[in-house]
Amino acid sequence: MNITITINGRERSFDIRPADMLIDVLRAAGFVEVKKGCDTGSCGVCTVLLDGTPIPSCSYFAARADGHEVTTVGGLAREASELAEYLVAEGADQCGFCAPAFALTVHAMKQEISSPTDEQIKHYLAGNLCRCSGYDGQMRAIKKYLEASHG
Amino acid sequence: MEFSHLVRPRSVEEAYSYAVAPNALLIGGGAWLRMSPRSVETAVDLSSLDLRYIRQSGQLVEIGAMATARDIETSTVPERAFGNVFRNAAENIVGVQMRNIVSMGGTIAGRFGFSDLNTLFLALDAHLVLHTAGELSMESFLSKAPKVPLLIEKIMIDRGHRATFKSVRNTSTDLPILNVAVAFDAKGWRIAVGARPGPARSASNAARILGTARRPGEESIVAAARATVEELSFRSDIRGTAEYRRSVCAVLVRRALTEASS
Repeated sequence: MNITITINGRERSFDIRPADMLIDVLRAAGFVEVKKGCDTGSCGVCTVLLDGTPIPSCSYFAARADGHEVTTVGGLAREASELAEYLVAEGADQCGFCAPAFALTVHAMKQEISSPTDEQIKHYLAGNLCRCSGYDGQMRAIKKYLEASHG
Repeated sequence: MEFSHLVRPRSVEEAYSYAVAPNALLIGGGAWLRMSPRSVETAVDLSSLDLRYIRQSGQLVEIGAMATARDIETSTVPERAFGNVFRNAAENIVGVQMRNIVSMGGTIAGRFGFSDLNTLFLALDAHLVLHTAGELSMESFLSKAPKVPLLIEKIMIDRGHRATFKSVRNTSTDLPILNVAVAFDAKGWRIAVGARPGPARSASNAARILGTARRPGEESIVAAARATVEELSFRSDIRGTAEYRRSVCAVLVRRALTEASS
């Protein structure tokens, strides 16, 4: 079946099998910044934004994205780079595998909650697992990033 | 999950016409289908139907079948009617990404044993509105697997409930080892227990111990908690033994009743 998805602002058409998952279509098309982790919707590394909302692309049928906008971290390169500076400064980024999805979820949180509390940050990012950092550094980095974003 | 065709009907009637065909499957959120080994002929995607809403209608809260777990976690409609109990029950379902796609209709239709929300719906005596089949109580739906395809249009809950939800899990985003919801309305108390690990069940005999008093005494609460453990069955799985679940159940029911009656 044929579907059309706007990915990072550019319309793309795909010929897919009906049961294909969004992650597989994206990665086959070269969007390898969308990482494949647990493949069960639990780890969050496959996160993309669908019309601005974070979803697990490993658990979302590609056919459902037909006619919608998908954003990978490539579509938020400048903002992700800014966040990455804070992550590096706080020693919160080691292997980097979770970083693309992490940046997308932080972006979505910023849109949804203007000044999140520590608890709200933890809660919003609970679905983004990181096996390197232990999360303390990430918390420090996010808080400093958000403070800087708000000027 | 494999399927040969995917259709995206524009009306409930059209969706149902596909659903009754041999080897068809209705897809709500589709969140857990990735792991299913099942192979179906036609997948019926309900995402184009106008079933994503949470609204108040007179004395009822109506939840469309395509409302997501995140919708119910953040909507002010259930919060005004029932306090923060829906937020408590939804907020630990995996991560925000998954909650953005998990649908209420799919959660109920799957009769998932691990579901937190099904336990709460059961305690709140929710009723399902089914296309062509009228209303069905959550209790009936969970106690007997349907033999024919059921298309859930919406879930209805009377606003006159006071409810509390409790769960125990290894980590905040893991599936529950056990969950408990209790609710009180003019008819009395309801106690529901899920993740036993089977689908949620209500402990009606235990609830009768509490009578119709809005504030049952501590002795009644302790007795109802013990009776819940006796009334329901528990099994062991990777997350906990039956013995552990029985111990936890008594504690969670007591805490939930104490909180709901305070």
